[in-house]
Amino acid sequence: MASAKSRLGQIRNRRNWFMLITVLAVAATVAAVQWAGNRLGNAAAITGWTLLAATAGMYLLSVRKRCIRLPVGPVSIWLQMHTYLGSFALIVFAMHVGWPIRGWFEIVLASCFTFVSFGGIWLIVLSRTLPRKLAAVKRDYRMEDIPALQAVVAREAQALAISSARLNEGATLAEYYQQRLLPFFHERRSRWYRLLPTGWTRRQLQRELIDLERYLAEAGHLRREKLSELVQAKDDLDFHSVVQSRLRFFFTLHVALTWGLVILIAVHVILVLRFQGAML
Amino acid sequence: MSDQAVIVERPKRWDHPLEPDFREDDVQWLLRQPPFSQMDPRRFASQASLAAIIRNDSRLVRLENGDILFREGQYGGSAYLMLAGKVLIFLSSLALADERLRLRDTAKWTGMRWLKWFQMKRFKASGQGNRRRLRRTETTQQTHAKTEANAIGYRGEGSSTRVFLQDLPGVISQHSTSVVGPGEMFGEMAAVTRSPREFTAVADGECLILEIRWQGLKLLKQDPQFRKLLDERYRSEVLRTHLRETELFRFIPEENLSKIVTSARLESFGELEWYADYRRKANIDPASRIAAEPLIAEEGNYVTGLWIVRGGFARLSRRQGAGHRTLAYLGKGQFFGLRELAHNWRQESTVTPLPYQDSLRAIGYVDALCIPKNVVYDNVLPFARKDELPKLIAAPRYQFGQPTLDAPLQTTEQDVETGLLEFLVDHRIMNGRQTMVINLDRCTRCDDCVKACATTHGGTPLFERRGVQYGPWLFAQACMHCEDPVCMIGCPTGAIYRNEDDGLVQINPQTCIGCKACAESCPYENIRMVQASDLKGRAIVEQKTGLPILKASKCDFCSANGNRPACQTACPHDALVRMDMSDMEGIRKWHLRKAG
Repeated sequence: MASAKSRLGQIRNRRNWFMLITVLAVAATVAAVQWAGNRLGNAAAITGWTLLAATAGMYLLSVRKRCIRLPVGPVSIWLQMHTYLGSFALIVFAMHVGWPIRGWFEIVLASCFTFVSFGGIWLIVLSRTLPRKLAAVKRDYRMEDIPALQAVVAREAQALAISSARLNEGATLAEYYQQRLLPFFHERRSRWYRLLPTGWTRRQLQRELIDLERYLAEAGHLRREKLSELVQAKDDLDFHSVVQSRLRFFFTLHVALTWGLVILIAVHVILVLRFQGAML
Repeated sequence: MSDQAVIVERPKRWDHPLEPDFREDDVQWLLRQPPFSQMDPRRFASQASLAAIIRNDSRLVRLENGDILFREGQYGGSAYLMLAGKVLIFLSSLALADERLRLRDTAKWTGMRWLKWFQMKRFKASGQGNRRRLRRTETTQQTHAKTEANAIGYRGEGSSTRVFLQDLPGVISQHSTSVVGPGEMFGEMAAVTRSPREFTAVADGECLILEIRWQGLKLLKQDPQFRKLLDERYRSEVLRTHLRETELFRFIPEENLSKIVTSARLESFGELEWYADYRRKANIDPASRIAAEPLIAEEGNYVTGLWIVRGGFARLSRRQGAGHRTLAYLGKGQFFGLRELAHNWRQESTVTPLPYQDSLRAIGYVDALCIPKNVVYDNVLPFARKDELPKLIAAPRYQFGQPTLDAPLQTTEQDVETGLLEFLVDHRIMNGRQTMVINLDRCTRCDDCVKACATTHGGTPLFERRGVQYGPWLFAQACMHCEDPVCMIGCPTGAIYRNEDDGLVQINPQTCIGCKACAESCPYENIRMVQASDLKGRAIVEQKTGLPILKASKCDFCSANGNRPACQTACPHDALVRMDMSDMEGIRKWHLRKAG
């Protein structure tokens, strides 16, 4: 039961170790390639087998995640190992491929490897930046709760708008709801929002609600404020939904491409072994 | 009724007595012995008569010379009544030969342990080390280093195996001990306050002891004669042991210690079952909530004595503007008023004494000991080491006859920022020893923690990734394995208990009768009632009503997996940590940690 303080120390130490090992591994591979080149050896075979071993090592993360009871360290260590091994593999990959890449199969394989690698890097960027954006929202929402909460907010807004029509203060809020808020609460957000979620629409609606203030009496003011809060709540839910979905999408894509890569690598290895003599 | 369901009778309170083979003539014999013979049977309800309590919540323990009944530091849920023979209470720490062995065997060589071992080597090489260990651990380690480990042996087989000291006379000669004889009771404080044992108990010759579990003890306390026995015992022995164990009191001569014991007042503040009051006041404004907390000592008032927290938590606060500012929360063994008393004692002849500079309030329920000022002056401070006493108060806020100074907003007296500290106290999270904290600045909401929990517990996660939030910190709804587990108070069968060695709060599904007492008393709503099922996954239903049988369910800290919580292991981004909320340094560091 390590304390929080000692865990922090472990995390920092671990990062330094992985960086050192990666740099040493790259240096060793470069030296081996140099050595093989100087002796007219097969440098591509060295980088190829190294790349295969590094790629296989990266799959250990999946195995670790599935065997959570095994006492082989936390998944975070394995993810870190996966990340540094990925960086190493990308460098070895650059050393391994002949430029320009010839043959459609090699192009597909290289593209898939590049997609998986850069997808992984993109996932690191997202996993470092998006949580902070999500945490900036007042409350945290679980993905599976969001649809139900969106429905609750929409119902509440509708009930509020309908009740405002019975206040003998005119139907300003109800009319506004009908025209502007109904689509916001009940429809899916636009493609642009899903691509680049911003608070522009929310701010616009809240500004418009403030503009209605002059047409409302006391009871209407309270309802307007409540509607404004509901607009905020709906926007927060949409934001969480879009950002969490984005993280899940890129993760799924990375995993799917990874399994595609396994097949391509297997075929590549068979072809290399089959035509080794011809290549020489 | 579905064919898929298993039909059973509704479990009852005493389906699993402490001793299934307790003989009726033994029960009758015990009823004729004091203190039971002096108790009034009419004070007990017909469903829980005195005889039934003895029959179901107690058992006879026969020990031979040197047998260890319990060890210092173990958690225990039972009190012991001496019937024949005598038991030695070791007032100084007893190093037992199997303890190092036990420590070595329980921890497996996992990846993390290799890493720790490697770090430890590095720390040793550089002369550094974790200097901020708990005082208790240091004391124990020092004692172990000084004394030879005492040889032990094993008697009996299976679950009835007893550990005994091989050279009892030799061990006694090296330690200070007290003797418990027939008719006396011991071990009840650890059971009542749900805290670790403060001493080791060893049989001196053959003896017969009645073990009474906490649930029975609670019922027996309905009788005034029994309560009196407990109070007398506390005053005569437990208090002395407790004071002797406290660092500040360790050099006080016996004669002075006796004076302290005689004059000390044991006071309780708030309600033992504080969760109901906490729920009622959860939504009121902070100022009113603090004002409603039972006041133990108030800033600006004359210093009447030294307060020592015996159990529960107290809020150390100071008036700030129109409200109160929390400076810290004090737990078991911590002092209040020592700073002012030491200051006044040193300056006694020259300046006017200072009043209390801060206030102390009970958070929920507090058991505190008050040693009057004059007794502290004559019997405590002259024997304390100078470097152990607090420094003089350079700029007192309160002085008699002087205007009160406004408290500065910036203060160096807090280990963590005010907002977080207030939050921890207001939500009673400071009670947690294994609180699940998720840093939302790092959490990608992948739910790997929940999935890992479900995988480890047969498909059902034992926590929810939701809860109260302070900034980016989410305190998830997972059992915190509290310092003061109030969930245990109401359990009629002892199904929810504290593990003797690691102090984790666990549920025994075999003895849980589904009464919901624990779930309703958990202030954090971290215990859920789930439908019971057998190993084949078939629902268990009650014969009479056809309703499902419920069992309490909560995080077990993956005890079956060597106390390596799967949730923490599975988090790929180090966003989830199980944190001891008394580790202020750890909280501060974790809080200051940047995302990424």
